[in-house]
Amino acid sequence: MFNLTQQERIVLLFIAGVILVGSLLQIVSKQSAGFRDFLELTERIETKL
Amino acid sequence: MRRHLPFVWIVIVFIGGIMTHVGQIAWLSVLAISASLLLATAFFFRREQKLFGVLMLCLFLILGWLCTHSRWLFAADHIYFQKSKMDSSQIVARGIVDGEVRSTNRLSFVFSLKEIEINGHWQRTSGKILVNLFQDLKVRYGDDMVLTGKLHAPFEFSKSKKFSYRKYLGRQGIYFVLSVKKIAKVQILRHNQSNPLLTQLYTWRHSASATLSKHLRPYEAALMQAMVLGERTRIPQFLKDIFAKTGTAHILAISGLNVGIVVAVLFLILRMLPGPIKLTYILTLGFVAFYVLLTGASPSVVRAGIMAAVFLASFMIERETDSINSLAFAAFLLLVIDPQNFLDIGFQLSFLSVLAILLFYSYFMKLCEPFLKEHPNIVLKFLFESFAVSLAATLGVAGLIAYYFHMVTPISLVANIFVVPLSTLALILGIGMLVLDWFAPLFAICVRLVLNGMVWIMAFCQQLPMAYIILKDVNAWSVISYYCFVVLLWLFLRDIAASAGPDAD
Repeated sequence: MFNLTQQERIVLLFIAGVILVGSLLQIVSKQSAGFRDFLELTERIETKL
Repeated sequence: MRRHLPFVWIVIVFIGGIMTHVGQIAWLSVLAISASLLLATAFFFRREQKLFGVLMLCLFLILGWLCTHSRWLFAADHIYFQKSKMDSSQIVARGIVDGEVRSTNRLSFVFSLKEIEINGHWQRTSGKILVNLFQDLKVRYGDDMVLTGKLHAPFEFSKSKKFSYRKYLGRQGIYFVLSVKKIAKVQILRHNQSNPLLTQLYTWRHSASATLSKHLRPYEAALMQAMVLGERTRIPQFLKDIFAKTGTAHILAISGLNVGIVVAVLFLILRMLPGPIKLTYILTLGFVAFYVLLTGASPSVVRAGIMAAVFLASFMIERETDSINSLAFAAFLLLVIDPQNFLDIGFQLSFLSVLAILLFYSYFMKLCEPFLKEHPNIVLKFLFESFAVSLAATLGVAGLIAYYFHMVTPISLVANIFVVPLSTLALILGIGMLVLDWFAPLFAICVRLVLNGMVWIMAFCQQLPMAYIILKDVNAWSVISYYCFVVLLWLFLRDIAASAGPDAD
């Protein structure tokens, strides 16, 4: 399944690291202000309108 | 003496349980720490093949969660939170036009918010909304505007329970629609406040669209605008129905096929020029990026562009790559960019069709080999190859089409044999018409011939008995059963091919 060369393994680790750091930075930058539940959100808006 | 400490492990696991129950944030911390530890461990054990593989699989599982979660959050100043502070749905909003302006009976465009007025005070706001502007104004990409209108959730247009317009817009980060009436106050403060490159590309796109409209009849121009530029709004309903009922609607969108044709033609032209092959690949890759932007960079075009780029890059690095691996990499890249792509019907259809072609085509051709050896004929070979591609793609997408669109289109097996070469020809002639402006009238005559021939054949196919079958309702279990059958068929064909000869794949 993961029959990779050493170089390819490093590249894969690098990709994983980039995704991990990118996702965490994005989460922190959005200040964890809330979670979007689309259905719940639209229902609430419609009720309000 | 080895110490007996069962409760140390029990209390650690118990604390883990408490933390996961505290809330989503605790989940987030646990998963973020686990991912970091897995990354470090995988780096440490990078020489252990099996352990590295297992660690990476666990890591990517968690990364899938984190990546989705990062997109699942709103910023604190997002319109969602601002909306809850408002007393009325009537708002005044300032922002930038963030996409192409579509003009039908109204102007429709994506608006990237900067500020909204709440109780007489302007507040910084983020997020995108869709604007429907019922006024005759010249609005362009990059315009900084102030709009007054009614903010509401998108309406549901589709009768199908399986397609939601709200969710479709939601996947593009749009949760609200602003309807601006004829008499409402609209101000354009400044022009060109966005990316200058995109502004130029939208100008070219607009002039290309105008060239097509100038030389072709309205419905012919609408077809070409859809096939070459990805503008599908002007296609008349009767044409949409004809292509949907013959299972050939994929040519009306810029799909992998269209991008593939454009890339292949450009590559062949560039190869005729002197220079190293790597330069040709790089130039073609650059053109793919240009074409994606020129066609409006809608999710389907970006998807097709990334798939083409991955395949081109795999040729460029001269590495023997498995096509299925390249396809999986393209899917991975698209899911990292936006995990919600996974729920997109277009994403599912395009990847399943390509996967089915990659899996089944060689086996179908293997079955036809004895017949083709007995009757060596180029036309016959072309027909068999086209039919094999069409059959494989149909097998791949039939379950999903039945599920989403309540339709099975047996005629698509035959219709695609005609429509694919004709649409390829129309696409090449259409591009020729746009590039060689002087010869546009000549190209236009050819385009009209090809398009009308194609529409005539599709209209004829649609009228044949059993051309398409409307299904009442298809549940998820029927679709799963169908795909189990497809997998069994593939295993069966693989066995036959393996027993026939070693060069089956």
